Amino acid sequence: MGLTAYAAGRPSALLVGVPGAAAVRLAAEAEVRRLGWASASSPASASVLVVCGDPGPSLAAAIDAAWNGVPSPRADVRLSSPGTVRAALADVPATLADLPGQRASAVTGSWRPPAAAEPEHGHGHHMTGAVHGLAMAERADDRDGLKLDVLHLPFGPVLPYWPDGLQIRMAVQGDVVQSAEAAFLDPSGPDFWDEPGARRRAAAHLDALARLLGVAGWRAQAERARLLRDAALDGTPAATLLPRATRFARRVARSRTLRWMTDGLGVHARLLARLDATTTALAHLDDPEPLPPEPDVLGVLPSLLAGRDLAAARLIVAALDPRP
Amino acid sequence: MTPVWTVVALPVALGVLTLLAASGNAVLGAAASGAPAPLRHWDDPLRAAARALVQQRRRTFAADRLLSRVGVVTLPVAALLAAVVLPLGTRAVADWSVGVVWFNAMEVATWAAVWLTGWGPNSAYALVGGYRYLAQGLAYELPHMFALITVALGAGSLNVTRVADAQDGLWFGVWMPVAFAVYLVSALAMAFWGPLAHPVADDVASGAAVELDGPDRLVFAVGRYALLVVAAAAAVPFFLGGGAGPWLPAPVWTLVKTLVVLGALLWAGHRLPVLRMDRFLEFAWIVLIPASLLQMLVVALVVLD
Repeated sequence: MGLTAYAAGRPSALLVGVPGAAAVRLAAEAEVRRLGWASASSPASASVLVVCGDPGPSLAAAIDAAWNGVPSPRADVRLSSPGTVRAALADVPATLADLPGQRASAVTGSWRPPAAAEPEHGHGHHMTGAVHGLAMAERADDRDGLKLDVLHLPFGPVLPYWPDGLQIRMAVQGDVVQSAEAAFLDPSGPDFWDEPGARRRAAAHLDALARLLGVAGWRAQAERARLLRDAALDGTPAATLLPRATRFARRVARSRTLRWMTDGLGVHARLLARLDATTTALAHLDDPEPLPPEPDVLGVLPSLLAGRDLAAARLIVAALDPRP
Repeated sequence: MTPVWTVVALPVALGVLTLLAASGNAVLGAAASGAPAPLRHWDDPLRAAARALVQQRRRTFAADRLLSRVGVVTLPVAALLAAVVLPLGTRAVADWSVGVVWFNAMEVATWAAVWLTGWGPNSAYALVGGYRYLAQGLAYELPHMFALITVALGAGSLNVTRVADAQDGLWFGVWMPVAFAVYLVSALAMAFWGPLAHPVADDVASGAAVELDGPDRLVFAVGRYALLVVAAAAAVPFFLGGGAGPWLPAPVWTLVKTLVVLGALLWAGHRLPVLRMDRFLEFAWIVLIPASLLQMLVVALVVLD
C-alpha cells in the first residue's frame, strides 16, 4: 500500500542508550540525522525502537516494556557496535512496509506504561480498594503538612534526553518529588567517555549539554551540541571547530530565557561551567588528560531532588548528568 | 447576510494554512538545528500523517478513551469555531456583534481539550502535561482577555470586522504595543507552542500527547497547528488593520499579514527554550497583568478624550 510505504520512508525513531555503549548511540544519532528521520519522544510516537548497545537483564526488561507501547507497523533494531548501524537502519523502511509480516507480529490488548505498572512496594495496608486491579495510591503528609496521594513514578531508562541506562524511582505528590532513588541499570565495562584526550573530554561535555538543552526545551541548540560533539570526535581541525564551539557557547550562555528558567537550582552555573570546560578543552586539543572523574553525583542526587517539582528535577538531573 | 463562498473558503483556507504551518515548521526546525538539507523535511508532516493513518491503535491500561477522544477532537473544532468570526478580507463567516467574545470563548475550550487529553490515558506523564496546561491557562488567560478588551475598547465594538475597520490609518498594534505584545505571547500559549509548549515538553516525553498514537495523534497535531494559525490570523483584524493596505485586495493583505505573524510565531518556537510554568505564572501575574491593565487605562483615556 502506497501510504504505508510513504510513511515507512522516513519513520520516527526512539533511541535507547545502554550504559558504557555511548559510541553506538552516537553513531545511531548521526545516522538518524543523515537519513532525516523524526526523533520520537515516547513509545507511542515511535515506529522504530533503536537499542544502542547490549543491555543487561533489567535494562532489557524496561526496553521490552517500551517496545510493547510502540504501535504497529513497527521495527526494532538492536545494535551492538557502531559499524553495524548504517546497514541495520537501512533495512528499517522495508521492514515497516512489509504488511504481512507486520500483521503477523502485531500485538493485541492494552499496554501498561511503565509508570502505571509500578507496584506500590510494601504499603499494602494503606490500600482502601482497587480499581482495574491497580492499588489505590497511598497517602502521606506533603511539604505543607497536607495529606496527599503518593505516586511511585520511575523516570528512565527510556526517556528523551536522559542519561543512558539511568533509572530514578521517585515518590511524587502532585508533581513535587518527595523522595528519589537513583541507579544505573546493569552498568558494565569501561565507559566510552573515560578514554583520555581533549577531544573525548569536549565531546563528553557536549553530549551532556545536548541533554540539558533538550530537557530545557531547546531542541535546536541541543541538536547543535550533538553536531559539535560529533565534529569533535571526527577529528575536525581545531581551526574550524573552535570558532563554531565558541559561537555555540556564546549563544547558549547569552540566552536570558534559559538563565531565567535554570537559575536558582544550581543548573545555570553548571551549564556555564560546562560550556567553559568545552571551549577550554577544544582550545587545548594536544592535552592528553582524560575527563576528570565526576564526584559521586548519583549519591547526592536524591537529596537534591527532594522537594523539587518534576520540571526542576529533570533539569537538575541533566545538569549533574551522572555517569555509571 | 453571510456570503456562501466564505463558508467554503474558511475551512479550505484554514486547512491549507495549517499544512503550510506544519510544513514550514519542519523546515525551520531542521534548519535551526543544523540538519543536513533542511528543505527535504517539507513533507515530514505528511509522512507523520501517513504513519498515523496506517497505525494500529494501542490502548493504555484502564484508559478513559471517551474523555481522551473528546479532548483530542475538541482542538481542531475549537480552532475552526474560533475562526468563523475572523474576516477573510472584509467578510467573516459569522459577522456577530460579540465576535471578540466568541473568539475568546472558543479558544478557552483548549483548556478542556488539553486537560482531557492528558487525563484520559491513565499515564503519569500525560497527566503532568494536562495540569501544566491548566497552570498555563491561569497565567495567560487574564492578560489575554485584557488585551482583547483593550482592542474592543479602542474600536468601541466587539464586532471583529468593526475592530479591523476602526484602525483606519493607525494600527492598534502601533498605538497599543503592550496589548499587541501580550496578545502574541498568549497566541503562543493557547497553541502551547514553542516557549509555551510546557504541557507537551520533552522533559515529560511530550506530556499531554505522550500516549497518543494513530489518528488521535494526527487530529491532536492538526488541531494544534490550526490553533496557531487561527491565533496568528486573529492578530490581523485585532492589531494589524485587517485587510487594509495599498494596491492589493483585502483578502490578499489578510493572507500576507497572517503569514508574517505565523512565521514569527514559528520562528520563536525554535529560538527560545521552554518556559517552566511556575516561573512563567509569576511573570504573568506580576508583569503581564499590570502591564495589560495599564495599557487598557491609557486606551480608555484616549478614547474618552
